[in-house]
Amino acid sequence: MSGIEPAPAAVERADIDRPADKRLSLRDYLLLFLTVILTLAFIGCVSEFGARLIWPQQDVDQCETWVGENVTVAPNCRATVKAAEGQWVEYHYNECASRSAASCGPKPANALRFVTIGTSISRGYWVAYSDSFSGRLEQSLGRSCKRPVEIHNLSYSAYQNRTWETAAQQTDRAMQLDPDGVILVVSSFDMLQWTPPSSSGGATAPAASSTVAADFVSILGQLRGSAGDSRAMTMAMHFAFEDPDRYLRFFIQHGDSADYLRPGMSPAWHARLEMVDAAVGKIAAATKAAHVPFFLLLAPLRPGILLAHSRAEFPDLDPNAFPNALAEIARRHGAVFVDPTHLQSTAPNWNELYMVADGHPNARGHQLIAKALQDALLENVGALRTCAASPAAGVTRSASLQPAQP
Amino acid sequence: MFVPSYQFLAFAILAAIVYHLARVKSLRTAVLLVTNLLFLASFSTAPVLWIPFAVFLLFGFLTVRFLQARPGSRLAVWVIVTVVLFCWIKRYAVIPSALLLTAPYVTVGLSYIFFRLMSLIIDAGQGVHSERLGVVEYLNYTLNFTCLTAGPIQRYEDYREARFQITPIVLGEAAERIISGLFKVMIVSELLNSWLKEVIAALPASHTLMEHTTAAALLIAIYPVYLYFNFSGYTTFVIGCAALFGMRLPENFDRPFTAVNFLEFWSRWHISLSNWLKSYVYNPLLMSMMRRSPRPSVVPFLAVIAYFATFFLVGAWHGQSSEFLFFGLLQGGGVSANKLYQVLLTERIGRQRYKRLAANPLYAAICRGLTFAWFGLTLFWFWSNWIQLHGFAEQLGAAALFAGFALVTMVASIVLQAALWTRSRLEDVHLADTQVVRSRYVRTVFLTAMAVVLLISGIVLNSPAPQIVYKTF
Repeated sequence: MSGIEPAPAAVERADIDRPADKRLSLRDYLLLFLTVILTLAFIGCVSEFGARLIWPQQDVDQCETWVGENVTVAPNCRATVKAAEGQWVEYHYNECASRSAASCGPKPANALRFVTIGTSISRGYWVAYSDSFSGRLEQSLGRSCKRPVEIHNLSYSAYQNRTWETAAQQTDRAMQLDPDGVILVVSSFDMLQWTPPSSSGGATAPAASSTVAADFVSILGQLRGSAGDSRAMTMAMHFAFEDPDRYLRFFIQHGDSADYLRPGMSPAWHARLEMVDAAVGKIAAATKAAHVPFFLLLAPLRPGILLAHSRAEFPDLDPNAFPNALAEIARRHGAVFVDPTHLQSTAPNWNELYMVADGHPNARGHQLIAKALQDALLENVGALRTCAASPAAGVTRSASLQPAQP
Repeated sequence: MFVPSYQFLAFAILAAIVYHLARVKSLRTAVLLVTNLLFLASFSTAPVLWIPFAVFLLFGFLTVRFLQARPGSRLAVWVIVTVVLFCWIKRYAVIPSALLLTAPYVTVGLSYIFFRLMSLIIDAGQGVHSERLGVVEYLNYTLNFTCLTAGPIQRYEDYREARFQITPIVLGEAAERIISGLFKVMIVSELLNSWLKEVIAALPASHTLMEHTTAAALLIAIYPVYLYFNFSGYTTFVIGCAALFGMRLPENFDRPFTAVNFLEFWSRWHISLSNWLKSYVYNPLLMSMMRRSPRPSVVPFLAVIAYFATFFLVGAWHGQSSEFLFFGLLQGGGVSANKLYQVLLTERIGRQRYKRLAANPLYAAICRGLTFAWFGLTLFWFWSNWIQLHGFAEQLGAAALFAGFALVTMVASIVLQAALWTRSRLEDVHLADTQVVRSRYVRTVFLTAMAVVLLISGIVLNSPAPQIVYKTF
């Protein structure tokens, strides 16, 4: 056998090699078109049905009522929800419509009460209350201090242009609860919802916006938007972005939403930090007047954690840029800055702390937020200084916490 | 511009539309030239970076024209000069580093240009080309953007003759090629690549002989399959793109893993390269040796030597470093050992018995598995450097590598035989006179499915990565 004789049957050869002597009738064209449509319909139905069967989701909180960009929650209400990537969980709202195990009435004697002001992460979105950082802290601090510990969440919608004014407006409600500490929970996503009027969005995005490729990408983006509610798409995103390297590489391509990871940050992000600075100033003034410790808790998101973990591979980015900016704001207003980034990025399960497609922290992510916050509370709240740190509810004291002192 | 990519596809479609709008042949040639130059410009627009590339092209053109005017005049010298110039520009390890250019420059597609140029030079030297080659035609042939970056390699005669008329069926088949090519590269080979990375990343965590054997087997088996889908996907894609211009590019793959020996494997893998080497290296070398030693009993052994030389070049051509020289030795060694085995076995048991043995399904299945495993093993020198190879050897150990090789041979024998059986059963299913699997409706179903997967992956991977999806909050 001669080794380099061409193979007798080139089966991969398509009909391009044959003379173009065939013609299609109109019937063939119609049948081919129908074949495409039916295949698309079949694939769409089967994949969506399969994804909904495997990953059911209940994203409507029956206790919530939305009016425009504002949400109101019914007091004393229970709702059952489930993220596609998460477990079934029950939300319970107390008589003040706050997701808390405790009543918002007068503070019981001997009880310690903390108030968190924040959006979804603060409220423990998609996780059971006992798994949220609030629930974990109530448990662990209660055990170690041997006295009741309550955490009340004054949550508001991040989907509004007045996020930080709303946050500041919660201060009066917070102070009425006679708290032993107030915690403002800030995430980069909350900040992103406010777009400065002069901002051009992703000005620093490296993508070549004028190229054909970029136009194509934007078409794909629109398609994705229209398919946003598809469970199959959620599933595809989950598996596509499970790989941290791939996730980060794609995330940083998208300008404004990723600019908080870039050293120096963009003008839009500086403007956003000014908004946060103003809100922190208002809350700090109120808490200082009442001699209540005030904490600024950074709720990290997956990109920041992944970047902090594999920093060497992304020399153009800085995982500390955003935490440092918030730490500076906290320092300026005498607040204690709490940053769980280090705890999360050095954890053995660092890539399993967030729901990949949804983006919220899961129970494991909340556990490390709770750990960081517990350390800060024990360190800075006079009534807690005598408490021994408790390993209960999966929260142990961390030696790595370095709160920014005024 | 990366090939294959959606960007390249858009560029090719746009260029094809302009090409077909131009009705006059000379205008079409001009459109093709502009397209080829624009494609080159997508790599760099700095003229200085193109100087060595341009020098190589100019040297080639002048040589071809000179040899066309004076066929046969010192052809060997011109061939050697061209090879040396190519090796110098491509910075092959055989050229002393002191002689190499230190400034950066572009060499995109130069390896494939080299093959086209060599065929032009040799054919011109042998008086094959009667027509005088024009500069535009020369540039369009050597710089053909559809196959510049990674082939397939096409001889000038085939390039000139391989034209057909565009019809809706041709366009449909081009779309079929393009979609299946993109699917192979962007989905299948990407998944295999991720798998390979995972296996490598998990190596330090494997401790037992069983774990080492499994890891070695996966390292041997994944890369050839990945490379097949990657390279054949690219080829399928560019054949589809060329068809948009009414140009036919040669096939490069013909189910290579069904080959029952390494000789046959190389007639099914990178076919255009094998064919080129057959025409310009193997045949002339064998003829030359036969002229010196014409005894019939020696001829089979001369073929063994010619095979070794040819396939050593195949391997060595793939890269500039010493790893590729070794890869060449393994390719040449594999092919020549295979040929020697055939020669000796035929001498010992006779031609008829050898034929019967080769037709035995069990023997063929084992040979198929062995061929696959050998190719996978040799590819270590293709995708790793000496440091990585040393690391693999240290981490896995000789026993695990040997056991892994045996495991791949065994599994590949079974899996490939099963795949062949399944394929043949599927091809037996007929509806009226048409094979169901080849019917245009079944193909349309598969293509639509592939297009959907490509679209979904494009949407997912090209839009902002998810951060927080506040559904109602």
